[in-house]
Amino acid sequence: MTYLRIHAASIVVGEAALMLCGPNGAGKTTLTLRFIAEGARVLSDDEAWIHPLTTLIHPSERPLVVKQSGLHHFPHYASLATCFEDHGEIVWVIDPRSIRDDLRGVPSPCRAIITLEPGDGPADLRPASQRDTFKKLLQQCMNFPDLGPRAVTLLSRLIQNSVLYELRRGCLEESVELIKEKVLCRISPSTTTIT
Amino acid sequence: MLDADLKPIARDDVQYSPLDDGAVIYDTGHERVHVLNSTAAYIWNLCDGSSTIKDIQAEIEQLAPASRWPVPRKVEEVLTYFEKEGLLRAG
Repeated sequence: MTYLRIHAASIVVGEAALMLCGPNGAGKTTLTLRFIAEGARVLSDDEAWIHPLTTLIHPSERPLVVKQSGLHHFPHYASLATCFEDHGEIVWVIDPRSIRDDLRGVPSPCRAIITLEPGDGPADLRPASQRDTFKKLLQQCMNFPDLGPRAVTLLSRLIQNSVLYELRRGCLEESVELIKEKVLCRISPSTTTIT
Repeated sequence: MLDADLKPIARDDVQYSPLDDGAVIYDTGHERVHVLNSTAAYIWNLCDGSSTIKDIQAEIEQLAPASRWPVPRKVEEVLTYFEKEGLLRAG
């Protein structure tokens, strides 16, 4: 069975999955760790595995990989992290089970997709069009040729079943508050007060 | 310039997936994805061999009668794009 793989983090809030899609350095792992602190479970911090028949996002077995610049937001995880050098860059690897036994989510339906754009001003979260989101997901699709027409169908179904936003990253806390306020309340109303 | 009496026909092996604000078509022969806006998607669906280019222009014009948009030229641009990308077949 060939899964569609998208360069995206995915977390589960309630029973719904939220996908955070963006290139390297967009903040996928940092946001994932921040939402873990809010009580979310994690499917992946870097690669979303989409089941080709059900479109459920499946959990990845990969550990969380945090850049040096991201780890300083989470000093309490520093003791759980192991340091590695990856292509000349220092990264920290964390086994999700060392944070919480039940941290790994179960296969879950995607209900929200946020595409991440870099930014250094105030955080800005706004609805995104289906066409723009499709183009961005396509750019971040890691094995499109393996699935071809099936990948187009899967991406379209994901988009049709999700609320779509674009986040221009600013301060981490601002970004998180915007996502909680505008997105999580739409996909999982009963769990927006997970803090 | 396309002949206004031509009846464009979409190739059978092009997969169509609708979106709320357009559509995605996947050319399986060339393994290429095209993301269409809603007007182009509408035009694509009229490429079934039953309508001439003139008919398609008239239908789009009816949808937006007060538009300042130059409908005939835009329809021709879209169809020219489809043709250049090899998405249409001979009738």
